[in-house]
Formats: sequence, structure tokens, C-alpha cells
Amino acid sequence: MEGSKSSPKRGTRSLTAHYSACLLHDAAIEEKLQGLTIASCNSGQGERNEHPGEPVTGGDQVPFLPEKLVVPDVMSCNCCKVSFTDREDQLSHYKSDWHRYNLHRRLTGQPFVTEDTFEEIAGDVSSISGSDEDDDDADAVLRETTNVIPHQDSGMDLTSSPIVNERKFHKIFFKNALGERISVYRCLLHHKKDPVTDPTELVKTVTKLPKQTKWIILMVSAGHFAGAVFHGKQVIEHKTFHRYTVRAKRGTAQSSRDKQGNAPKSAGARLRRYNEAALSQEIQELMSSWSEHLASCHLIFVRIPTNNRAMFYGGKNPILKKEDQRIRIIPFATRRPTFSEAKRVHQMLASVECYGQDADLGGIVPMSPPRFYSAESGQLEVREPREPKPKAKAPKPEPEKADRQESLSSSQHAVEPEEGSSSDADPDIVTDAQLVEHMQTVDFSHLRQFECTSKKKRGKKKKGVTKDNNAEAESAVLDEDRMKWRNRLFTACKTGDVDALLSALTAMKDSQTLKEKLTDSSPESCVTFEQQSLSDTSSTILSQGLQSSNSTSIASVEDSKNVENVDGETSLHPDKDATSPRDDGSSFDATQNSDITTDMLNSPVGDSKMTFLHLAAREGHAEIITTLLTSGADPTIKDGSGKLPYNVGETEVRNAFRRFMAAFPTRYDYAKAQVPSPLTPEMENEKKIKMAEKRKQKKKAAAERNKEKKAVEAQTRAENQEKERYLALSDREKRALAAERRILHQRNEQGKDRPVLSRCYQCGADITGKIPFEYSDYQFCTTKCLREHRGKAAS
Amino acid sequence: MAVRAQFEGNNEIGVFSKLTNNYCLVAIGGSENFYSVFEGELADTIPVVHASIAGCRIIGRMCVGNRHGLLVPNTTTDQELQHIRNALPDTVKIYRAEEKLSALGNVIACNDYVALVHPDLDRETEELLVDTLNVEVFRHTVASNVLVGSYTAFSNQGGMVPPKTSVEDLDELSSLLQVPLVAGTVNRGSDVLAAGLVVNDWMAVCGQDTTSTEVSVIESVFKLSDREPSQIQTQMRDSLVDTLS
Repeated sequence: MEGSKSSPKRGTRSLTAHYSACLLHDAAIEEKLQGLTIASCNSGQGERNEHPGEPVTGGDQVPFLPEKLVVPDVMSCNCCKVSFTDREDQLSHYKSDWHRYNLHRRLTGQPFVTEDTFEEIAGDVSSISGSDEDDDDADAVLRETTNVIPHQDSGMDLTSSPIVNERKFHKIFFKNALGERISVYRCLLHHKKDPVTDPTELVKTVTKLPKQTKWIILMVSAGHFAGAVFHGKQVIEHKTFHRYTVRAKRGTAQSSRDKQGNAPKSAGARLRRYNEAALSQEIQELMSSWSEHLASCHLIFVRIPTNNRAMFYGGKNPILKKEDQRIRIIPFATRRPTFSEAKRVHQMLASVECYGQDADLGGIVPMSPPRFYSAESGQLEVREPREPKPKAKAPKPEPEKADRQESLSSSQHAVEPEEGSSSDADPDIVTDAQLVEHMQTVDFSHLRQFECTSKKKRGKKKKGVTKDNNAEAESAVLDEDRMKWRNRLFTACKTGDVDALLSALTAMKDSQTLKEKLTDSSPESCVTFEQQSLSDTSSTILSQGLQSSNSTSIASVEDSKNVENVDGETSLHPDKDATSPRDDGSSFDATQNSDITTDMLNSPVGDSKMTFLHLAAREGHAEIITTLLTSGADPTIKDGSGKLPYNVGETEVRNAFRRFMAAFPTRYDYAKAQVPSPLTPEMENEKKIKMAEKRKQKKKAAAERNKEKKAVEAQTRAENQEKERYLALSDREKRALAAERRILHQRNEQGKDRPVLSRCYQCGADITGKIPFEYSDYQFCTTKCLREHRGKAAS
Repeated sequence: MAVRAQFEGNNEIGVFSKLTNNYCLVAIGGSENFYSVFEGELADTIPVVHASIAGCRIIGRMCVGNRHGLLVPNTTTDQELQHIRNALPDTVKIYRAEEKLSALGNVIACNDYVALVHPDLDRETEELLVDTLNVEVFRHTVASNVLVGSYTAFSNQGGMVPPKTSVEDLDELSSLLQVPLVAGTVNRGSDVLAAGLVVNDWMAVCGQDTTSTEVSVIESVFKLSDREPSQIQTQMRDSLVDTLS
């Protein structure tokens, strides 16, 4: 997309292919450090283009012209220096990580990077979005590389970046007698506060460096401490500790939290406070034990965060003195302080990097490829940033071979075998190594048994029979048959079809007896065995067909070859059927029942581990239960939820069990099956009679109750009628009535005769004190009299 | 047309109000003068809602919105959100954004089609912007400033960027946003444009200090001028005349 816009000095990156590094304490270093002069690329000394500042347009300088108010056709990103041909390109560019990366660089005053460079830097980093800047390796690489490359594209125009006058790199570049450009870390040469600029002085210091290799590296971070004393490449002493000081998940040390005031008093906080003090104490102790190393070492490299400074520089007799010129800060990012990290830091600092011929490089600041410390080899290794995993590692070249080492292309890395990572592997040997292809025939015969194994487990019973593949195939067929039977049994039990159940059982039993006969006559020729086994299965099918009186289906099921074999068997079949005592259910015996039938009857079905008995009991088929019990289904088997068949069913089902118990009191363990007592026909009769009596009594009681109720009802009805008649009387008559009653009452009290004050108009009966029935002033004792009187009057 | 206003003696009216084509938010507790400017101009057409966000009156800087929706920071209380929801038209989607850069108005500038955002804005917020405001999102800076929401003001008609923006950047932004842009100031030379100016497709309100030159620039770039010849007279003229002849 931006190919035309690429930097004129894009070649810089490929030049680092000549990169090599050796350590200060290596023997070959003398050769490297001979005839040193300061390289031209160091800041301030190298020729650098002055970057003219971006012309700034002031608001007042913009001549406001209304006709200028158009959207320009040219589409470009000034930040990444690319132009686009269509809107889609433009949109996708502004969403790219490359654009965002360049935006960030622009904001921090760094020049833009081309897309290719960005790809190389970012490598396998999937996203550099603001929200997911996790501290993973790849990001660390990104940061490290960006620290080193800032002047890679220095020839290009720096848009709106503030130009730093004296840019100091972490490394100083030299040219040696071989004409190579080499670099060492600046911090090795002088203290930060005491900069040395004189080239001769610098060169002198560098040449002295291989003799001053007693270094101490101290790193503290987040409760981790790592310290190591190196002399040359030897580790004289080292120590690491860890204390829990940083608040888990929340981050930040407890002390920095406490400094904000309102220090928490939780157990965790106390623990961390204590641990901080303990860590400090431990470091103090360690340092006092290392005091002679501290005194004698040439350089001390530290990585101490601000809030841990006091541990080292504070106190009455601090471990390190602030004014000590030997103390240098590690000039690159470090990870968690561990021993291997300390070793990595040591290797990084001690390496003298060589970038190839100085003349080729010109004024460009060379860039070192990211290097990774390998714990196995104990050395830094160059890894191509694009490779996500360091599968093939570049061998670290020996110093004497460094000169003639060819470029390490990434493709070469890929073909290197794993052993190549050992430190003294010659690169020539590495490239000569060849992969030899072997053709080998692998025998898979031992795997064959899995090919013909059916999904079902084979029954234990048949193991003896299965002697070869034919027998296994037969067992598979038998398994299929078993499934078929099972399905039939299941259906019968579910629907309560006793006939179907019986037929299924018989079919099973027949096939069983047939097979037993076969096993008895087993040692025959292979061919006959096969034929018989075939006919066995087919006869099973046939018998089933006969049982269900569906003989027409046989022909369709079987192929013609089998039919021939079957004929002999079918003739045998009816005899078996006749001799088998299946018609008389009670005559079934456990011993008579074939194993396979009982096995199948008692084997659990489905997920809930129900037997056929459970199923029938649940469905309430008493007859099926009797049949099953007679054919050997065990009522003591519990289902998946631990229930017995007896407990699953209703009364009718339970009675079936009890009846069976009465018939065969010793057949099963009824106590275990929780069948309480036998139920004989006499008992049932008795019970029936009792029940009838009870019912009769109940009926009688009900009738009596009804009668009483009726009487009461009649009474209330009469009362009500009386009341109505009374209310129908006029007030004068009511008073007359009351008077009559009073007179009657008085007479009664006085013991005199009852006077007759009024009589019925019809029959002349005494109605004194009673409420009369009346019409048009005539009064009667009953409605009957009234009707008669009226009839008479009418006629 | 562009009108001048002041919020309690403060010229940064863009801080206390948010104006879109579909609704207008004004901070509560201002003087009636301030409200009357908005209500007088807008009340017939779009709702003018008196609102606060997270108990603050700096609603213009806290929220971002256009015709399609409104994004408020996660500090907005439920009550405030409910109030705004009740007052705004039903077609306007309102969402709370869980964004670290919680002053959404400072980090996002948008019209009804495009949004310019801070380079470090969360991916989730970017997605939310796309879904809620129906905009294309571009991460960019304006005159080397990441606070694109504060320093630019643009509508569907045009936009303004601070005077420090280079001509190349101005062209780039203009082609990116597909609206004509000019560099300019408000409030007598302030380059914090979005703070001194709220604008939609037919109206702009700027701070009381804005000079008449600034007002004329605003009116012409946002195409608010009544005197400006209409489209019929400019762009469509040729074709019309051609057909009539």
C-alpha cells in the first residue's frame, strides 16, 4: 500500500543480519576491541539531517474563502505517509494497528515507521489496543526494540516532533581495527552523573573493560529479590527471595498504600507489612555477608523501584551509597527478579555487539535484533520476532567463528535440528545436517481385533465359544438376537400382552436349548460349525416367525442358502416345542429355565436399571407379573432407585406377588423381595365375604340415617305450613284464636272440661285452639273437609 | 444562524450543553437567559432537555451523541439516565459506556456519520459507538492533540479545527470525515472549539465573546447563514437551467 513511500534507508534492518555478539569475558574480545575509534553514528557526532519543523498554519493566516469549502479528493494519512485510492482503503487504514502505532509515535515525538517495519516490530502481537496492553513477552520485545531504533528512519521528516539536541543512546558504537561496528552499553563506561564525552577516554575505558568483570547485579521488584555476583562468566554468589508484599490482584506494595493514609488493619495488610520489613531485613543480612564482594566489585548494576530505594540507600549504614560511582542502572527492561533474569541481564550487559562493516552502515544507528535468554544453554539467543515460539534456536556463534559466519536467515533457522541449540555447534555442520527418510512397513495386525469388535459387550457365557473370528461374528449375531428378544419382552411387559410375552419366552428358550445342543457337539469341522451357527440364528428367526404366526416373513428375511440349512432344524423344532412345558405356567422351574432367559429377564433395562418385573409392576399388569415370576424373573432385584418390584406396584400387582408366594412358597426369597404374606384362594374368598358383609352393614346404616333425616324434614315442613296458615289469618281472627287458647288453658288449669268453642263446618270436629283452614268465613279442621264443603257448595 | 450565549457568565457554553439534530441537552441550574436561547431557537423542532450527568453540569463534555443515539459515562446515575430517556425521542438510543476516558465529549467528536476518537479509546467503546451512534469511527489526533472531542466541532455540513492544524492534516481530516473543514477559533481566539461552540445542521450557539469575524466563519462553514445562496441557486442551478431551456 505504501511501497512507494518507503524510507530510502529501508535496508537498515537487513544489515543487522550480519549481527553477532560476544561477551566481554570471552577470549576473543581482545581482537574485537583493538584499534577502537568512536563510530560516526553516535549522537552528536554523526552527520544528521536537520529536520525542518512542520510549517504551522496559524488561524489568522488561513484566508477564509467560502469557495474553498469542499472536501478534497486526495485521500492520505499524513501520520503514516500513505495515500489511498479509494474510501475503503482509507477506512481500513484508520482501523489498523499500524496507524495507531504511528499515532502514538507521533505523539511521543518519534518518527513514523513503515508498514513493513511495523510488521517486523509487532510480529505476532495481535493487537496493541489501549485496552489490552498486557505485559507479555511480545510486548516487551516491542518496547525493547522501540527503545533501540528511534533513529532508524532519521533521514525522514519528523512531523511535529520536538527535536532533541543531544540524544543519548543506551549503547555507544565503536569501529574496531577489523572495520566492524561494535557497541557496548554506555552504562558500562561511565556513571550517569559523570558523562564522558572524550572519545579517547571512552576507548580507553572500553579496552579496560575485559579486565573489570567482577559485577554485582541486584534486582528488587514486587517482593522478589535477586542478587548475583559475577566474575567473568562465573557466578560467584547468588541469592533470590520472595516475600508476599504486593496486594494480590489489586497490585501496589502495601507500604505505598499505607502512605496514602488510612492504613488498613486487615490481617493481609499486616502480613504484607511484616513481609516488607522481613524482606528488607533479609536483604540487609545478605548484603552484609556479601560486603567484601560489594567492596571489591568493579560495577554494581541495580534495578530498584522508587519505593524500594530506602531498602538500599536508606538507614544508618546503607547497603549502597548514593554517591558510589560504580552503581549503574540497568538500561533495559527487566522481568521479575529471578536468578535466570539476573543471568540474562549479565549476558546482555557483557555482550559486545557487532553489526558488520562500519563502512556499509554509514551514519545509520544499527539495531540489534531482540535476543532471548535460554535457560538450557545459559546464553542469549537471537530469535526472529516473527516466529511465535522459539522452536529452532539460533546457536550462539563462537567468537572466532563470528567473523566468517554467514547471515543467519530465518529459513536457515527453520531447518536446524533441535540439537543445534547447543552452544558449540558449528554452523557449517548445522547446515550440512540432512534428514534421512526411512521407509518402514508397519504391521497393524495386532490392532485387528478392534475392527470387528461390536459395540456391545460380549456375554461371559459365550467367551468359551468364541474361538476364532467366525465365532465372534456369530456372537455379534447372537447379541443382535438378544436385543430383539429384549425389545419383544419389553413391549410385552409394557402393554400387558401375556401372549406376546409367553411367545417371546418360548422362542428364547428354544434357541437356548438348540445352542446347548450345539456346544455339546462342538468339535466338528470348521465349515460345519459355521453352517450350524448360521442355521442357529436363522432358526431363531424362524421360530420367532412361527410363534407370531407370520411364517410368510421368513423367506424375505433369509437368503436362499440359509433356507436349505434351516429345513432340518425346523423339523426338529416342533418336537422341542411340544416337550417344553411352557403351556403350563406353574410347571416352570428355575432349574429348567435356561440361563440365558433368566439372565435376560433379570438384567436391568434402561437408565433407571429397571427389570421387566419393575416395568410390569409399574404398569399394573398382574398377569404379566405372574408369568415373569414363573419364568424365573427374580423379585429381589432392586432398580436404580433401590426399589423392589413389589413396592413399585398397586394393590392388584401386590396381590399377584402374594398369590405367587402362596403357590410357590420356596421359589424366591420373599423376605428379601419384601412380599409380606402369601395370598391363598381361601383367604381371598374369606376376604370377599367379609367385604360383602361390611358393605351390607354400611348400606343399612345409610338407610337409617336417611329415614331420620326425612322425618325431621317432614316435621319442619308441617311447622312451616302451620306458620303460613297462621300468618294468612287476619289480625282479628288471630286475636280470637289467642282468646280461645287462653280460655282452654284456663279451663285446663282449673281442671274443668275442655269447652268446644268452634267446630269444623264440614265434619263438626272440635277445632278449638287450632288454626283452622278456612274459605269465605267457613272454618274446617282439614283441607279434606274444606274441599268437600266447597264441592257441596258448588254443586 | 449562529447565536451567542453565556452560561452564568461563562463563555464555554459547549461545556454546559449538547446540541444534536434530534435533541438538545442543557445543564440544569442555569439562568433562564441561557435556556431561552436554546428554547427560543429549538423548542418547536426538537426537545430541549434540562439534565445533569453524574450530578455535574458539564454535560457537554461528559456525553457524546448524534441524531441516532447518546452515550453517557458510567458515572451517570440511574435517575439521570431515566430522566434523559424519558425526555428524548424514542428513536434515540441511550447507552452507558464503561470507558476509562470517562469524559466522552472530550475524547469523541462526531456527526451523524463519522466520529473522530482519541487514539487510546477502548475497543468496546468503539463498538458501542458504532452500534449506538451509527458512525464510522476513526482514531486520530487533531493538531497533535488527542482530545479530539474538545478541539474540533463538526456537523454534517462542515467542521472547524484549531488553527494549529497544518494544511495537510486539515485536508486529511476533511477527506476522512467527508465534510469541509476550516481552521478557526471561537470566543475571541480560543482554540478549544467544542467548548465554545455547539452546532447542528441548522443552528449554532457560541460563547458571548465570539467576535463577528468568528461568527461569520462559523456561519459559512456550517452553512448556517440565511444570506447564503441555497442549493438550488448554487449546485442545482446548472442542471435546472439546462432542463428549463
